[in-house]
Amino acid sequence: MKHTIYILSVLFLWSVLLSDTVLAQQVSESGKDSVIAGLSSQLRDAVLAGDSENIASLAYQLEPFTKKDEQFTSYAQYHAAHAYYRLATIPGAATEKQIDGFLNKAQDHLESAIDSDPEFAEAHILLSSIYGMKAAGFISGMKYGPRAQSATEKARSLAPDNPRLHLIEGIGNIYKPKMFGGGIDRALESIEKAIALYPDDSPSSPLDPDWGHAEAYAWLGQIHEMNGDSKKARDAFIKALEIEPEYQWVKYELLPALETK
Amino acid sequence: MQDLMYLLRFVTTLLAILLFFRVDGPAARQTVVSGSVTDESGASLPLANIYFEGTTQGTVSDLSGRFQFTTHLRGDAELVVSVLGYKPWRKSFSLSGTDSLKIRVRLREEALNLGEASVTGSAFSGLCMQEFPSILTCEITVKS
Repeated sequence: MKHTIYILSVLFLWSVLLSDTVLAQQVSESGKDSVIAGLSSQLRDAVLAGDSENIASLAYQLEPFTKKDEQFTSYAQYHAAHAYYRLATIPGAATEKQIDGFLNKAQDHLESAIDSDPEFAEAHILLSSIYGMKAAGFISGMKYGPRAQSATEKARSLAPDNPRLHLIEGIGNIYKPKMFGGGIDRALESIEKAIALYPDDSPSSPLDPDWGHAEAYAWLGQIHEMNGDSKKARDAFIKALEIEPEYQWVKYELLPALETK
Repeated sequence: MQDLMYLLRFVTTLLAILLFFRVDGPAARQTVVSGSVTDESGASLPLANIYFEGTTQGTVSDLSGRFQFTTHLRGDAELVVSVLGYKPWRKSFSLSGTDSLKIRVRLREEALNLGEASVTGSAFSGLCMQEFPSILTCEITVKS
C-alpha cells in the first residue's frame, strides 16, 4: 500500500511539473502544420481588420517556422511573406526604411519557398507583386520589372485560374503605365477575371492561401471610382462588405470617402 | 490507520511542493517590460519586434513606438529589439520576477547590402566607383 501510494504520488507530481514542457514540445513537433494554419488564419483576420501591430506580431510568430528545412517550411515562408507584404502596403503603418525591410524579407522568404518547391504557384504570384513594388524607381525598374513579369508568367503557367494571380495583376496594372502594358482598362479586366474565379477558389488544405475575395471588390470599386462611376463603385464596396462585413478598409475608409463626394 | 496517516502526510507534502512550484512560480512573479523604440533622429519606430531571445515572450511596438509586456522569465535573459531595416539592439538582464524594466531604444539604420548595389548593372557600377567613395553611398544615391 505504502509503495503504491508513493509511486502514484511521485508520478502525479512529475506529470504536473512537466506538463507544460511536454505539451509545448508536442505542439511544436506534431502540430506544426496546424500552428502555421492557425497563424495564417489569424493573419487573414488581422488584414481585414487593418491591424498592423497584429500582422507584425503574426509575422514574427511565423519566423521560427521558416528556418528549418522541413515539411511545412514553404507554407510558413509564404504566410510570413504575406504578412510582410501587408505591412509594406498599409498606409502609414511603417517608415520608408521599414517598408524596404519588409519587402526584402518577403522577397527572401518567397524566393526560398520557390527554391524548395519551384511549382509553388501562390509563391510566384505573391513574389510578382513584391518585385512589382520594388520596381517603382527607374533603376530598380530595370532590375525588378523583368523579374515581376517572369514571376507572373511562371504563375500563369502553373495556375492560370488562380484568382490571386489576376487580383495581383490587376492591382499592379492600376499603377503600371499604359506604355508598359498597364492602365485602368487592363486593371479592370484583371480584377473582373479574379472576381469571376473566386467562387471556385477552394483551398485543398488549411495551409493554402485563401485571401483576396473581398479585396478584389474593394479594388473594383476604386477602379469604378477612378472612371467616375460612383454607382458601380458603391455596389462593389457593398459587395465587399457582404463577403467580409468587418472589412475595415472598405467600411471605414473607401465607402465613407465615396459617400462624402 | 497507519496507512491513512502516511497518505495524509504525503498529500500535505505534495501540496506544499505544488504550491512552491506552481502558485508562487511563473503565474505569481512577473516582470513588466516597457519602453519606446525610435530611430537615430528620435522618430518613433512602430512594429518593432521586442522579445527575450530564445523564447516567445515579447510584443510589438505600437504606432508611436511604445511597448509593454509582462514576462514570467527569471534569471539571465537577453532582450532583443529588432526592426527590419535597422540594426537590432540586444541587452542582457538578470530578472528576479519582480522587476519593472523601462527601456528607451534608438536604432541605427542598417547598411544596404552589396547584393542590392550590384544590380544596377556594369555601367552604373562603374559610375558609382568613380563618383562615390563607397558602394553603400552609391546605392543610396541610386535609390533616391
